[in-house]
Amino acid sequence: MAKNNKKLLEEIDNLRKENVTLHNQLREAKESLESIKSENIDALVISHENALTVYTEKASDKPYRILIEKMHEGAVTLFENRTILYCNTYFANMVKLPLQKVIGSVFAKYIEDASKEKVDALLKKGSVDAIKDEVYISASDGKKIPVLMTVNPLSLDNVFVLGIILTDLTVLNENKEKLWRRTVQLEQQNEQLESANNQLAFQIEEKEKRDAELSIAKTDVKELEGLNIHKENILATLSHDLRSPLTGIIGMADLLNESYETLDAAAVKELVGLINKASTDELSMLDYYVEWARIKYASDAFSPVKIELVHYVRKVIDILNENAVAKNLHLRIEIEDNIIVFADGKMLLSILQNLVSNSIKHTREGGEIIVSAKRSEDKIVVEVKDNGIGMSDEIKDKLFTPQLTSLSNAREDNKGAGIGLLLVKGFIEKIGGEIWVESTEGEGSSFYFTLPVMPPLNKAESTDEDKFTENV
Amino acid sequence: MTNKILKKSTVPMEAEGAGEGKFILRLFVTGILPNSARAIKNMNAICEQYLKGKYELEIIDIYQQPSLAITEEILAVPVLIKKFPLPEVRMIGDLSNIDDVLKELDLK
Repeated sequence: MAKNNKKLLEEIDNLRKENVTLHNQLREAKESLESIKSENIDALVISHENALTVYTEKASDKPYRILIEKMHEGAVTLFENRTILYCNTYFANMVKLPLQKVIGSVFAKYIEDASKEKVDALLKKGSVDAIKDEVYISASDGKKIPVLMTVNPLSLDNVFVLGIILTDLTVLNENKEKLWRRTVQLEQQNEQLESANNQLAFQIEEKEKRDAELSIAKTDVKELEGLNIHKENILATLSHDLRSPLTGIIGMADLLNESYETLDAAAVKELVGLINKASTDELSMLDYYVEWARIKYASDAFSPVKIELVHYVRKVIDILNENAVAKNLHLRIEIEDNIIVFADGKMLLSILQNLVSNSIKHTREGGEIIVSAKRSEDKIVVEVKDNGIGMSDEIKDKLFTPQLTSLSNAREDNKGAGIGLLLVKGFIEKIGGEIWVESTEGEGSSFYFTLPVMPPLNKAESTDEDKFTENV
Repeated sequence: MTNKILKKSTVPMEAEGAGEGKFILRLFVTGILPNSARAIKNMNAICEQYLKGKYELEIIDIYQQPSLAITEEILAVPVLIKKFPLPEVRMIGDLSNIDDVLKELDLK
C-alpha cells in the first residue's frame, strides 16, 4: 500500500512539473502570436530546408535604396552583357544625362577611350572578386572625369550582375596637384634660403678673418709704437750721456780761452785738470756705447763659454775700486772659487759693472756692497747687495724700462748706468737668465740675476778661462 | 510546431562568462527596418541601465547572417533571445514595454 502511495505521489509531482512547463510554453506561444498580431514585428521568418524565407510587409531594402540614391558616389549595376541595369542619380549627374537615358544604355559609352582597356580588365576581374582602380569617365559633353572605380560581383535571385561604385577624384586630384606645386615651391624656397644662408655664413667667416687680422695688426702697431718709444728713449739717453761731459769740456775750454791772461796758474791748472778728467770720462762713455752697439748689432759677438764667476767679479771690483774708495765704501765678494757659469765673458763684465756701479752710486759714505752667489737647481743666483738709500715702489716698477732715463739724470756721472739696467736686462735674458730687484727705501737694495750652469742641450761645450780677453 | 518553439538550445554557447551569472543575449533584427531599429535602441538602454558590466549582447541581421536565424529557429523579427542564465526565454517585438522585458529577464 505504501509503495503505491509513494508512486502516486511521484507521479503527481511529475505531472505538476509538466503542467508548469506546458503552461510556460503556452504562454510563450500566445505571446508570440500576440506580438505578431500587434504588428510590432518587421518580418516573419520561415526556415525551410536550410534556407531562410523572409516575409515583410514593408520593403526592407528601402533604407538601402535611399542610401544608394542619396550618397555622393556613382552607383551602377550592370548585366553580364555590360548594359546598365540600374544607376543612381549621382552617376546620371556625373555623365550629365537624365536617369531614364542612362538606364538600359551600354556602360562602355561612358568610358573614356584611353581607359576602355583598363575598364574591360576591371570588369572581367571584378566578376570573380572585388577590385578597384583609377580610370576616366567621359560625360555626354565630352568632359573627362577621373574616378576610382570599384567592381563587385553580385548575384541577386540567381541573376548575376556587377555592382560598381564610382568615386569622383577631380577635387582630390586638384588638391593633390596644388599640394605638389606648393611642395615644389617650398623646396625651391628652401634651396634659396639655404643658398642665402651659406652666403651669409661665408661672409661672416670672412668678416671674422678680417677682424682677426685687424686685431693682430693693432697689436703689431702697439708693439711697434712701444719699440719706437723705446728707441727714442735710448737715443735720448745716449745723446744726453755723451753730451754732458762734452758740455763741461767745452765750457771750461771756453773759459780758458777767454780768460787765459787774467787767470792765475793755479786756476789754470785746475781747469786743465778738469778738462782732462772730463775728456777721459767721455772716452770711457764712448767706449762703453761702442761696446753696447757692437754687442747689440753684431750678434756673433755673443759667444758664451764656461767661465769661473769669481774671476769676473774680481775684475769688476778692480775697475770700480777707485769710485768705492772715494766714498769710503767696503766692497766684498762672497763667491766660491769653483762656481762655473755658462756665459759670454764680456757681457758678464758689463752686467756686473753696471750693477755694482749702481750700488756704489746709491750707497752713502761708509756703506757696504756685497757680491755673492749661490747654487739653485741648474742655475747660479748672483746677488749685488748694498745698504744704500734703497728705492721706492715707483722706481722699482720702472727699473727695467726705458722711462728710467729721467732718474739717471739726477745722478752724478758714472760709468754708463744711464741705459745700463735696460741693457743689463737684455744681456741677462740673452744668456737665458732672469733679473729682479728687492729694495726697501732707506735701507738698501739687492739686485739678483741668474746664470745658467750648463749650455743649452744643442750647443757644444767649451770651457774656458783662456778665452777671456781683457780689454776693459 | 510546439517543438520548434520549445527551446532546448542547439546552438553552441560561449564558454566564458556562462558560469558567472552573466547575461548572454541575442537580438535578431532585419537591417534598419523601424521595429528592429527600436528594438536595438531599447535593448541597449536596458542593458546599460540594469545589466551594466554583466552582459554580452549580439545583434544579428538575418539578411547578413541567415544561417544563425535558421539554427535558432526564428519565427519573427525582431526577437530577443536570452540564452543565459537559464531558462532560455524569447521575446518578440520592439521591446518598448520595459516592464515586460525586465519581468521576462527576471530582473524585477
